[in-house]
Amino acid sequence: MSVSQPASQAESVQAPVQPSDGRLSTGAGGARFAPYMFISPFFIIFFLFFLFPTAFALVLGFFNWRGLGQPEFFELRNYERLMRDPIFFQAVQNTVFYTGFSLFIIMPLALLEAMALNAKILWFKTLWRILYFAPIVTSTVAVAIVFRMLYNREFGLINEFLMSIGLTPVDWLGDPNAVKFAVMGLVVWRWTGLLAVYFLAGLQSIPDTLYEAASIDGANGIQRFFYITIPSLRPVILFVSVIVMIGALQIFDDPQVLFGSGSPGGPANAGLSIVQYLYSRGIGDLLYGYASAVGLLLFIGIFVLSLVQFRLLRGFED
Amino acid sequence: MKKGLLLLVLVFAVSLMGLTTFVSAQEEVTLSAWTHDQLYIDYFNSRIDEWEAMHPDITFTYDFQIIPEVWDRVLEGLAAGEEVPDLLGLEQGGFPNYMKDGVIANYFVDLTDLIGDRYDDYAEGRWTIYSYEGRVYAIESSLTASVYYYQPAVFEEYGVEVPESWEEMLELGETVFGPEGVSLNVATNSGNWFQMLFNQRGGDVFDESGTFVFGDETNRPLAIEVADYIQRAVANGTFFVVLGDDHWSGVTIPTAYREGRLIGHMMPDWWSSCCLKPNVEEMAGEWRIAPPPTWEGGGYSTTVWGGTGWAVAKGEDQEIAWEFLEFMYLGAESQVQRFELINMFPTNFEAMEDPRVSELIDAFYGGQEIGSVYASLGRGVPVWYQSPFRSNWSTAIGDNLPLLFDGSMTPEAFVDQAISITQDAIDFGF
Repeated sequence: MSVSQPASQAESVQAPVQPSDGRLSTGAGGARFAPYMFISPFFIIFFLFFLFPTAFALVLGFFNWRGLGQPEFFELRNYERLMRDPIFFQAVQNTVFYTGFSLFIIMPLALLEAMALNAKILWFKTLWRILYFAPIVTSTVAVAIVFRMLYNREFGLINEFLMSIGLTPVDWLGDPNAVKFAVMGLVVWRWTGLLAVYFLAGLQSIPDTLYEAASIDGANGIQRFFYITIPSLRPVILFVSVIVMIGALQIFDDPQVLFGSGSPGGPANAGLSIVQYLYSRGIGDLLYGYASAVGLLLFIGIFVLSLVQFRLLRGFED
Repeated sequence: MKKGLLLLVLVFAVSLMGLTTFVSAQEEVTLSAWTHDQLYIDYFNSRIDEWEAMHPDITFTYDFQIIPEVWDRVLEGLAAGEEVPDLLGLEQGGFPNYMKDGVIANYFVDLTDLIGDRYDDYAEGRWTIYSYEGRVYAIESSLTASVYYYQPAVFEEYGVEVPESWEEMLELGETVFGPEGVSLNVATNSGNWFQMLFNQRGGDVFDESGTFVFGDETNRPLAIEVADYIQRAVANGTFFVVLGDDHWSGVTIPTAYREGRLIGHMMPDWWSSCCLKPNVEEMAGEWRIAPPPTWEGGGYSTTVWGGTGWAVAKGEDQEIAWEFLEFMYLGAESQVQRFELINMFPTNFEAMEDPRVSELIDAFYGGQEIGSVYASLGRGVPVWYQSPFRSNWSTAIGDNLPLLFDGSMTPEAFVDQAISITQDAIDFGF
């Protein structure tokens, strides 16, 4: 049932109020602009701190500029230099490793962790969930200090343990072959819990009746996992995989604080990520144009890989 | 009576006018000085009264700020159109960025003529690291001469003398200490660390004109010799490898000191106050210093690492800022006072020989007269030159040192890689 207002009352509500003294009116004119006023703070900030810097960086990639004086038009020379810069390619390789490790090791680990946290037989569920989430709210610098002590070649706990079981100690932060795993160890500890929370939310939305019906039909645990859990989690898997991939491609603070400012890329740059390289060239060497070129290539890489990922996972969904 | 009163009023009025004139004649100056280290501010503050007494006609206000990596922040500020402070504490490693695009010459005062004949009274190597196109732009705060910090009891226990040459150290490592798991020095993946050894051997990375000479027929063999030595010293345990920030902080080095795994460490004078004493306070009395080992093939008696020079910004207060810096930093008495307060070893030869410096005794070093050790090295500081491309070279060296340490890169390949990377950067422009 609808209630209609008398025409005269409706008109009186909608009638524009003409200001007599030119002040801003709360009438129709003001009402027309009000929504824009409310949403404008976001767009102003978005423009100032995202769109404008992005466009500026895009243009800057074609210039040589250290922040002082007139930028020198450089045509494609920043990109030419980049294409024969061995450290950039090393950073790309390292970042691809970080991304692959994150997608194919950390994500499945997080899913397993979420399933464990969702298990009916688990005691003190809330406590476990808090514990797994704790790394997210811990200072990165504090975590890095602790991990540097754990990874210490001479006096670290990890090597003490390895030696106690008869294995050879590893120079986690000194051996170019080991440093990427050292970074990933830190990343696993910091981020698996958060990803598990996403998966846990997805798992809790799967109706129990599906599992009960599958059990009645004779499905075992593995079958229930592949035919109920995974298909039901598709949207969550897509979401998590996209944020994991973007996060891994942009990895910066974990290796930066783990290796420290002395050699932020680790020994022989074996742990250097693309964003670390961008930072060192842009902020350290004040090569804003060159760093912008690195940033643009990273942006294109993330964009293309995200598209591919969406396509693949959409296919997986179909 | 009336006349007398009038006269009194007149005298009072005239006096008041005079006072007003005097007050308005007081010039007001705000001096700003930015640095990364509180020690410099402590030193400035300790002599402020003396400074102000020299300028009774000026009312000073001070804007002294501690800003981490201030040299980079100032460049960023310049890019954003901000002004630079009157006085800037410029770490020598940050100087190459100021050489690029002539920033140092555009924004800072050329001190060469102001220093004048006094140039020769100071260690030359401490001027050249702040020189751009042959002109001096900053005054160094410390000699940064390297010494060999060591634990005498361990040497006595093994019945051996402190090594006087690098070759002797390698021999001791091979035959006496290495088999026991005891190291005599530290190796770290820093271009500055390699440069310290290379400069002491007599090598140059850049010459006076800024030309890259690391790869020439004189310097390349020296670099390979030093790299080869390092590789052998790491391999037989003479050098204890500590990478990255662990060299400066963390538990590795203090624990190795305490456990007798590391019984010596060649580092500059500032290592004592920044890192040795604070990290192993309980080992007071167990350390001594000696002149560093030297290269049998030739070179300098000591070497250097680090340093902070003070530069004067161009501007309306540049003259008074220069006077302030001259008062605080130049002259033997100023340098002795600076040494007494903040332990920065003088760069001035007369100050080095002042008994307050040369006879300094330090309880941490078992009452050793450490001042005399530094003083004996004062004239042996190597002279080396900066370049806008020094960071390219230094990064290339630092990046590949771990590969030299673990033997996966030969000394020749290590040196040639650094030559190639640096030359490529020079050819391209960055």
